[in-house]
Amino acid sequence: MGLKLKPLNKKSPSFFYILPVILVLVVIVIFPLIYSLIASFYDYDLRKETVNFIGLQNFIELSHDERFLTSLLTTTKLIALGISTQFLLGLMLALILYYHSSRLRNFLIVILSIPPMISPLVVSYIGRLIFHPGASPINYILEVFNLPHNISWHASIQTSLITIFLIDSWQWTPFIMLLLFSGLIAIPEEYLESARIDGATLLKEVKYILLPLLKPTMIVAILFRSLDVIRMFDLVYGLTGGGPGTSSEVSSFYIYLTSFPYWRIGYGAALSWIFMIIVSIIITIYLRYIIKTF
Amino acid sequence: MSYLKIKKLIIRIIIAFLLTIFIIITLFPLYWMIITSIAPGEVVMTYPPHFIPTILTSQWWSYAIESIKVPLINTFIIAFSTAIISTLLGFISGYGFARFRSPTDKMLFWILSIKFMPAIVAAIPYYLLFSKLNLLDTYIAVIIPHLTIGIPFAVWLLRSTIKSIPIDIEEAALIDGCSRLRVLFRIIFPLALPGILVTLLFTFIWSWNEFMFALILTDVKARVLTVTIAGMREAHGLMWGVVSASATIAAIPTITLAIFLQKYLVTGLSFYRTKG
Repeated sequence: MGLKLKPLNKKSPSFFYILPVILVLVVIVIFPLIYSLIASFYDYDLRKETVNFIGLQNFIELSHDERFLTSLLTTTKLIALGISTQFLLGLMLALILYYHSSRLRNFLIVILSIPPMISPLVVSYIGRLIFHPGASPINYILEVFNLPHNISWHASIQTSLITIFLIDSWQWTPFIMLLLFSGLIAIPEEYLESARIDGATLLKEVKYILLPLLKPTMIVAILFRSLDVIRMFDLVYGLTGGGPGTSSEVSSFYIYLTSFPYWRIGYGAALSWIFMIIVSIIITIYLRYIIKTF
Repeated sequence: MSYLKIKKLIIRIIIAFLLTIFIIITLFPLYWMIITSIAPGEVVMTYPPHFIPTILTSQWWSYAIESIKVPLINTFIIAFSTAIISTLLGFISGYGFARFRSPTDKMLFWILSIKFMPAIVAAIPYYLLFSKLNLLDTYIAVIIPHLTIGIPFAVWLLRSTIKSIPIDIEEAALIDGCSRLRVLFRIIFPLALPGILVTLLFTFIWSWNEFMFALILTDVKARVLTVTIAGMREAHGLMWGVVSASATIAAIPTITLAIFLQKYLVTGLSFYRTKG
């Protein structure tokens, strides 16, 4: 193989190590994607068992598919509302934890690592329990505090998306917090010490030292969380089924409905490709923007 | 007590209060799920709710255990295979990516970007392909899609783990006439063990929790826990107690792993902190 005693860090047999992974990924990722692209040019209906080549018909149809466009908007709303709330709350908590070293802190870290570890589908079920329109303990607590308490949560068009947002935030704010906290404790002490010698106040310390140094972690937190919300499926499936009406129908869920319960696989494939392209463009712009601001 | 000390004390109290509220918010839904799984039918889902159960029952649990026995085994086999395969491939290629500078660097970014692909995009062709190959409703039909997430994660995490191991140790061994593969498994492997454990842990938990691929690609034989719980809604007219017990059982392994491997969790999070 000629692997022995080659100097390290030079162009050498890296392919020997990387090839297996590349081969596997080509087979399990690239090949299915191409297959899906081909399917998107067909009227592939598993119920009617027809497979007809229809060219760009699917893509023309989806450009004025209002349900698809609405689902994109719903996904966008969830990202805007969810990520901003979770991020600000997570950052605040991470900073509190950073400065608040007590026994409570270690306990809190253990507690906070629990929600992100639970399957979103199980979480959707917990949401059903907590927000059950007829027997919601949350409504009861609201009633005790004399707040409006006849809320139907996920069973109402007005509040279904808010309920999804609340549950998603319950599960993932701790994740953002832990991530930012792990970023904070990785910042070398010396930076802070020199600032303290110069007489920096706590606020200035946070603003001019911690936050700028935390920026890479923040960017990654926002990126990964946004990708999760873009992909969101389990929570919607388990909690609302996209409803009532289409009030909580996110894109992934609409594409799933089209492809599986309705069996219009060709059209679903076209939708999923367009969806993926939109997502990639947004990510690319976001990453470009980041690279520029650094 | 000076003014400053009082101020500090007040701030400490306020913060402790906020954190306590946060702990309650985090734990209450879990508490509620467990309560629902052990309370008898008459007090479940009533209004006003019973916050502390007075009579307990184990009937939901015994019923739940009976109905999720097979899915539990299926889920374990699938999650375990996903974790092992991802970690092994990730370890070998992570070494390649960490130790050689070459055109393959672009590949690394490509591998990572697979994680960005919305799952539904892959689910559609997998359904078509697996139905052609008669693989629907088998373990393989779920493991393969899970690898598309597991492998990129493993490659990325193990690359940075191996990169942090000093290269001198390896060079010494190579000069002594050790082969590269021997170096990889005899020297790098033990040193990278914490990273390997984290990779195993995270890929296992991810696969254990996954729902969409399993929903689309399995039916009865290879049905996993999440799909079973989702299906209980229709089958049992949503018997809250049984579903709560099953959901608790599904959450126990991942929560336990998370708590016991607390110190490795931060290493796992560093996956997200390494710049892409």
